[in-house]
Amino acid sequence: MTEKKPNKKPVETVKFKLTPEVVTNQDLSRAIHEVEKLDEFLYQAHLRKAASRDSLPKTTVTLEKLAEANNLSLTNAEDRKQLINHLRELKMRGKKLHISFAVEPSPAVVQKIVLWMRQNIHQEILVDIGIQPAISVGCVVRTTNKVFDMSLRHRFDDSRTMLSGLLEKSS
Amino acid sequence: MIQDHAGTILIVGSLLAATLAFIWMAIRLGSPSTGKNNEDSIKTVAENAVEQIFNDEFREELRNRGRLHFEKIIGENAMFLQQDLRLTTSQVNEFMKQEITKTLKEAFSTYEQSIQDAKNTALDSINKTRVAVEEQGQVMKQQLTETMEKEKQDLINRFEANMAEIVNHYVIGAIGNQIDLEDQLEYILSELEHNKQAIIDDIKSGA
Repeated sequence: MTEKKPNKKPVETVKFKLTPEVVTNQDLSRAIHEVEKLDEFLYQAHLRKAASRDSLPKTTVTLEKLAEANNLSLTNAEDRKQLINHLRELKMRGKKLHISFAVEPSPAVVQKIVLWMRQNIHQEILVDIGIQPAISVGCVVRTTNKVFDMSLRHRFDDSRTMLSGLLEKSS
Repeated sequence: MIQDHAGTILIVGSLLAATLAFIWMAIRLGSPSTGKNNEDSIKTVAENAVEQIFNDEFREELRNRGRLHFEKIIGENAMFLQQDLRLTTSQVNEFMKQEITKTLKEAFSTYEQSIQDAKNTALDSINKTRVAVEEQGQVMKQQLTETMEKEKQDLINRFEANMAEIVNHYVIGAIGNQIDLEDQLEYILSELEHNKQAIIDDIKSGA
């Protein structure tokens, strides 16, 4: 395998896809760090002419799926560069959203919610997960300017008139 | 009394008879035929007659009579004095009794009036105190009612203000940790769907 440091080229305007494994900003940062590290390793190996496919560092599933979803090869310097640029661009300008639950959500739940958001809100959205025990049931979504309280407590708050009516009726 | 008067009359009569006898003898002896000797004899006779009339026995009798009379008068006067004294004592007693009764009546009247005044004052004071206590009680009752009403209203307001929190608390207490996020997913997605457009709008316009 031969590798050389590619020249700087403008990023192609292809539609970049985020996989469900990349959920948070930290996931994105880790992916960028990993691909940069891989790029550096391959570049050094190219200089030493000692690299082979077997000696490639172990990559994470996240990075592999990310490359696969965007038809990019991690062994190709140009593709790696393109991936890095895309990921950096996403990190800088990507849409972000914060969602809080009462307890730590399972990865499956997170993936389902993120999938829904990328299908319905924005396909490159990044979601930060937080925990607020006071929520109890439901979640609270915080965007740049707004907070959407989707907890059961807020639902009860909205239904105060109905609850008062029920209490008066029962008394 | 009659006996005393008779005794007195008898003494006076005896004295008058003796005097008349003396005067008659003096006239008999004083005729012109007598001289200086006659005068002396008359004088002597008179003196003898006087001596005979006013002898010691007569004098003693007079003295006794005078003593008796004096004693009698003294006794009468003493009796009168005693009567007067008794009468006076009785009157003084009566007067004293009246005066004391009057004074006591006045004192009692004054005392009674003082007691009545004190009683009236005490009653007025008690009435005023009672009225004040009743007014205070009324005010306190009103304040208590207002406070209780306010407290009740505050409680209701607090309950209504925190109703969602309270209901949520009891719901969570009832269901505990039985609802995990997997079970909530449908609810969460429906809520997200409900707020979808608002989230999109905010993300698009994001600062």
